[in-house]
Amino acid sequence: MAKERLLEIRNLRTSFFTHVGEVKAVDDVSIYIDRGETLGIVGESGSGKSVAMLSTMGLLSENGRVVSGEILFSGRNLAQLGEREMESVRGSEIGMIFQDPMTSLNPVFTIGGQITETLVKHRKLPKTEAKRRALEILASVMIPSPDRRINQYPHEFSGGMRQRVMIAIAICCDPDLLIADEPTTALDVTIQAQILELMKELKSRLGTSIILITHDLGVVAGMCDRVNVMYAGRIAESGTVRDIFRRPRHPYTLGLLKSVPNPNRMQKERLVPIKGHPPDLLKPPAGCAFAARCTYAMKICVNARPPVFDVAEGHQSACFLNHPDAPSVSM
Amino acid sequence: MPMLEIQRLKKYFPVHRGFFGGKVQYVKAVDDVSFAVERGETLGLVGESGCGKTTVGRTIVRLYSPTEGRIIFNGTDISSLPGREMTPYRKELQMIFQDPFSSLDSRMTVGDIVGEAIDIHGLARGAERTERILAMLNRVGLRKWHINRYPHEFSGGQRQRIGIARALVVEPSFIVCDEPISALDVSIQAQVINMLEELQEKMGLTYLFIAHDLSMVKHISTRIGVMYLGGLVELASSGELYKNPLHPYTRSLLSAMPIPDPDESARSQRMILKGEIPSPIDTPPGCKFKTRCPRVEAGCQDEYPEFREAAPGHFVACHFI
Repeated sequence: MAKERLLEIRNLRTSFFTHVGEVKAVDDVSIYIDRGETLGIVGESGSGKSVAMLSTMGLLSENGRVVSGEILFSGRNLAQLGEREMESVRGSEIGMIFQDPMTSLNPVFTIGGQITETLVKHRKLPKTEAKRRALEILASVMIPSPDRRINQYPHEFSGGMRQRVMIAIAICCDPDLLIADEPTTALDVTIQAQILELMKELKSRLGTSIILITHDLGVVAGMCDRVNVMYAGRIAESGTVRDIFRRPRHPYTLGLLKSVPNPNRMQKERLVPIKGHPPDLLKPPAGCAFAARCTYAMKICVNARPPVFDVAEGHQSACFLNHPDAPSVSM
Repeated sequence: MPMLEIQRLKKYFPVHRGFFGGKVQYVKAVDDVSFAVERGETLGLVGESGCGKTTVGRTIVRLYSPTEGRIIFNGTDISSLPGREMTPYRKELQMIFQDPFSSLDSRMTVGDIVGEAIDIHGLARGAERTERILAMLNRVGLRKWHINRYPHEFSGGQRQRIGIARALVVEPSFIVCDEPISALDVSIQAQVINMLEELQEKMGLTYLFIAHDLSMVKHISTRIGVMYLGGLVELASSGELYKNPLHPYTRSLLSAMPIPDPDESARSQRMILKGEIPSPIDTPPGCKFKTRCPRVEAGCQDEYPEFREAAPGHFVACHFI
């Protein structure tokens, strides 16, 4: 089956203009996702993973702006759409789930009201029809006794149940793309497993493509087909999930993998942390953003920004070690 | 003799319900928990939010007074010692908190934060006090000039180092680490974990390590206790618990744990629990896990399973084992 590109972000730059200067939160980032795929975006806080997705959705805060770049989605450049047109894309063609299900739901409306609102707005369904559909969707995200729950308010739901409601709202208009920003970070382990299972099940049933933003390598390994690793506003490495876990070609990716223990290993391995901490994006370093923390850093890394190297089919790394003239190191 | 032993520890919090708040019910945050911690070991305590693991930790350092039960530290029952008599034990029992942002006073310098503990216990004054603070900062990987800085000038990982310096500067012997890494980024977590292990070796510390991240707990702990709804359901050595989990809750917790490897993740058998943790207010009799347990039977309804030794050093509270 030929792959069909669903979303392509090209050379995106997003900055926040603060009173102390411009923060380049996303700096020349290109990301794509094909139909039917689950793409993981991994990175630590401040790496720009959420900002890249908020730019895509047109949900940046007041002082944030897409400076340049294209966001191509079903034949349109979302970066150039007006607010009115973006509104019809959001919720209808692209659904979104956020980390904190409490603050993303409106506390003064019932769950049913919030789902039917979406259906009435985007699908122009009559109220009664919308309610019938809302009941169906609540059942499909496995909320017990939906006919009673539909009239309740967000505070009457537990964290896991709220996240199910968020998913119900996100998928009620059958979007082509679901963007999930740390959907399980606030949840307990057994509830996380339930939600991830639900997302997998919905994906195979509805064929929705998913962009999963997370910092948890375990979640990525279990859910994603391809992975983009972000660091300090740029893509450090991208490839299939196997490329990233088995054949990492960027020292940051390697560092991340070595700093988490694998619970299946019986004997204890010492963790190898990444020394130092991420750079200040107000004063980004001239060369590679990771150079100061990198064990393999060379002279060029401090002075020049590494371009993106193709290391294999579909596997890219922004690291000078992949340059043909670079010394070969075993990673 | 174990360094610390808690016997049938209970901590109930009253909640006032009804229109005039007249109806009193109890949250049984910790309900009859017993375990011992040996000198030099790390006992991991895992469980989901609301299971009472933090309350156990806080009760041990006497931030809460226990409702019932005994806390025996080096042979002395400290569960009801009044303030002044408790002071020498407070020096021995220290705590590292989860949130490195709210657990440091934003109007105090690092020197004041770390030095305050020295003053309270009257350990040093003047130049010796400064010397001691600087030595401690150096030990946790902070620099000399950091002594005059304020918490907001530091990153999350550095703040956690300040919290660790504050706990260790009085040379305690027992540390309750309450989710010390959950608020930190992945690359920083390993830094802090390695530092805790190093300090344990050098200073001969004993840890109670409370967390919900099972893979880190397995990495750092000698033995692990699993809590559910205020009770301890299983306790075993770290390797034994992962190889041979007995309690159905432990099994599902382990199988829900994300594995950072795509092939192993695909192979693993998931046992996904139904439902969620019931309210800890006035819990019904019987096994606490009965509402979610895949093996539940009639016997589980009324009788609370005894916490007993199923194999040498391996304790479990389940009727089927």
